[in-house]
Amino acid sequence: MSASAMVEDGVVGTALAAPGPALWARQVLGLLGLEVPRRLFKRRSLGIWLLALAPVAIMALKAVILIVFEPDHMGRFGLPAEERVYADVFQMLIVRLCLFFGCVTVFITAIRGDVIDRSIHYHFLAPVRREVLVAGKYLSGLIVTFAAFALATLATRALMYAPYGATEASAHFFVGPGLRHTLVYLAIVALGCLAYGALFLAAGLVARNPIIPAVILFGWESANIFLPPPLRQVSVIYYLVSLTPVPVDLGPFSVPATPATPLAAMLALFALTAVLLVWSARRIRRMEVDYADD
Amino acid sequence: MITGGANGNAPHAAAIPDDHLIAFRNVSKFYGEVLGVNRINLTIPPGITSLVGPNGSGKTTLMNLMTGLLRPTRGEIRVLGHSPYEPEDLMRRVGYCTQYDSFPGGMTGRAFLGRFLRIAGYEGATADRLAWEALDRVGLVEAADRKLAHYSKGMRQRARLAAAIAHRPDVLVLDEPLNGLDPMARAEMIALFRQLARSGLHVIISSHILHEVDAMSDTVVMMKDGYVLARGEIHDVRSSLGAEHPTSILVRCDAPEVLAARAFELASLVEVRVHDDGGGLLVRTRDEDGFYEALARIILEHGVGIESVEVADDNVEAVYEYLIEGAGGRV
Repeated sequence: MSASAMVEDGVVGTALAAPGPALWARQVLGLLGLEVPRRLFKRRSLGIWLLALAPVAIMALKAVILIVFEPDHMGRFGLPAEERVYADVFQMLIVRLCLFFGCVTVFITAIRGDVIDRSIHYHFLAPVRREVLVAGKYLSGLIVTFAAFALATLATRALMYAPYGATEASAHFFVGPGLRHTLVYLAIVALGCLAYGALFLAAGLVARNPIIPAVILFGWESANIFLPPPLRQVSVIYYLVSLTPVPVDLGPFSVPATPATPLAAMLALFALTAVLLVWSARRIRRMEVDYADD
Repeated sequence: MITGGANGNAPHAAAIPDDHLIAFRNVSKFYGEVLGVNRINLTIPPGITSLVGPNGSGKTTLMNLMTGLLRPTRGEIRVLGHSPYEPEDLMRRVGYCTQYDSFPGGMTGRAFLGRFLRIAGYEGATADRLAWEALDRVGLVEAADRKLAHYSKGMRQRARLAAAIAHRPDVLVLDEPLNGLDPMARAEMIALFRQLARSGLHVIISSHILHEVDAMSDTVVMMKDGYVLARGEIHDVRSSLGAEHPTSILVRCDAPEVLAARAFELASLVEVRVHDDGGGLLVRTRDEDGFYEALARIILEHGVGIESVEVADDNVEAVYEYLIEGAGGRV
């Protein structure tokens, strides 16, 4: 009956591998199997899908207006001008608002949500290193947020082309900068999920009330354009915006700042992510389960 | 602290290697300024060990400490030689059925067990098989594909128990495992715990239902206000209290007056009282063995017909009440 005595056929003994990268990978896959479906398709997924659909709805509305109500004006601005409009939508709506709060809803609740649901102890009572739990939770959040906002990006890009003819659209996409811009926007979404994800996962381990760090960080990221250049670099949005293929006019009150080079921006975001994940892994090792406190 | 008996006491525990014991060494846990447990020195050998005490006595804290859900403010804990803070090693050998009546949302009983076995690292087919076996053991096979949210309280309790035993642990920690179960299910669960203990597992159970503890425990650990009051086999703990608390013996017989008259001659007797129904005698003695010898003589000399002889306070409830007597506590 004990672990040693009960293994009559050797199934259990051979099934659970010795601790090491192979077992950790299997455990992470196990976590993904639990987390990804419930964050993409269950009740918890409502918030992220609403945030992902918001820019799609706006771009769809714009496309419908152009196609249905102003057919004579179709193509009046041309796709280069549409790219500038899209850059505004992408930076102001998709990245600064939807992706930010999408990561808030997914990553802050990745561990804190289980504490609030009083189910985190099932994870802690599994024979899994807590660092592996952090990795699994983080990866599942990345998959969910990237899936939602990559789809939103692709959909909004498609809707940008919708009012234009197939010839003009395909020329812009395949011959012009369309494809490259789309890939860069997808990369920015991926990097945004990576960095904001690590940031909010860590915030969820610190704060009992996740709204407070979310609001503080939103304020900081939003105020970024008014900050002097050295302070601007202490943010995620500065590096994400530095990568955008089409610059955006931030208005007369913004402080001009030189964007980071693509390499510097990516290195900064990767470094921030790594530091935050290491910190989260150390933090969760000392985490106690005492639901009376929550 | 009072210790008694081979199972819970140091002499026997010392003979068991450290990697077969659960050991607390000077362990204290404070929640801020509130005491959880204090200065716990305890070794728990294989078999069924019950943690007994009222709410707030520190039973759950002790269990959470040994499974790594809490960290001690000071002291050291080893579970079969493992640190509770290395779950990758520890939780392969430990299953913990907590009191927390909650589950990840939207899952069926089968999916819940299977998913967490996969998270533990079992491959799909093995995880499914272990999940099914565990559900079978706790009698949830028919409800396996129903949502946990639709389970009754007793079924949820059994689902948590299934999660604790599914990976076939060496140590099973059960926090109030009989709560919410109907009498039939309680009897089945107690039989299961006994079966698991017989096969060499440590089964550690907290309960405040003392007659059930009495029925299943090899060893008891009695707690109050974060301290261990006594530990050991219940009979030995009771014996060690003999000087302060004479043993109460109920003798059912056909001539209680004759028996009472002769029993008064024994110097070790503290009290003799004919039972209210006139069909027996309640004796309180400081020398239990001496009384039995005298009783045999009286029976032979007077031909008294004896129906039964039983110790009336050799049980967890009586022992616990003796221990907390004067402290104003009651289980």
